[in-house]
Amino acid sequence: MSAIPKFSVRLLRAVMQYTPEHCREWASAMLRELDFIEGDWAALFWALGSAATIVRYCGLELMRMGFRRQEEAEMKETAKNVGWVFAGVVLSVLLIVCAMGLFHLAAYFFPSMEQSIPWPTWLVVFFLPETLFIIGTVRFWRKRRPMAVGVLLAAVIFATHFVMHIVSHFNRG
Amino acid sequence: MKLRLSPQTLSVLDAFLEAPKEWRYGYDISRGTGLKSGTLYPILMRMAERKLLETSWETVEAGKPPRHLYRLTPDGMQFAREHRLPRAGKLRRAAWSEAEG
Repeated sequence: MSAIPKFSVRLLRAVMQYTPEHCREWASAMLRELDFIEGDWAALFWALGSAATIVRYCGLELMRMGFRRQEEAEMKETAKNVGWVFAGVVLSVLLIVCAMGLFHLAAYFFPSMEQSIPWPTWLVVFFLPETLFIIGTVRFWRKRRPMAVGVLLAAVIFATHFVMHIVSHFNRG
Repeated sequence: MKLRLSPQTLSVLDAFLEAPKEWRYGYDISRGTGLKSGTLYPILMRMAERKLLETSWETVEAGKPPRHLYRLTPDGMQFAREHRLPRAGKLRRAAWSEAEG
């Protein structure tokens, strides 16, 4: 086989590698015909025409499929991220609930603790959870950023709530 | 894909109508119609998509690569006859009127 038919076959095989599944039969059909074409230049023109057909009719479809897949993947990724943010918030709320429970338990066993915003209360109800939130955010930031964002969001909301509570408490006092 | 009745499509339909029940190779149709692969295959693809053409792989002995075969479906035959015969009639009438004039 001379260089031109060899090049023609290689060209069509190369195009076939990127051909979508539903067009592969047609690409293969055009490639098979190459063996029966008389004349090197005729084979080359056949291969060029076939490659153009595949690119024109199957390439566009391939691009459309690619875009659709990309969109689906992006949607899945967004849903996953939202899920992780939600998980971070839920985890933080659970931690706050635990801290509150611990505080109430301590107040039950040690009634003398029930003074107006004493330091132990601040420590259990605010500083301990906030420290854990910050540690959690730093730990998750690289590995699971959406979850870290969820924890951070909960930490900010909780801190704001706590500051408002303190301000209103002192204003009353 | 819409099947446009271009002169090239009509010549492909003509080629199939020469022997409507026979399976044909792509290269043979190309030689018969004078159409290049870049023109012929899009027409064949559109026809197959509209179920006017059926395709098959030739069964051959081991070691020999199979070839793709094409034949009009019953719908394809009806479509070809509907669209080819009126045009052929018109051309014939035009030729007669030219000869008479």
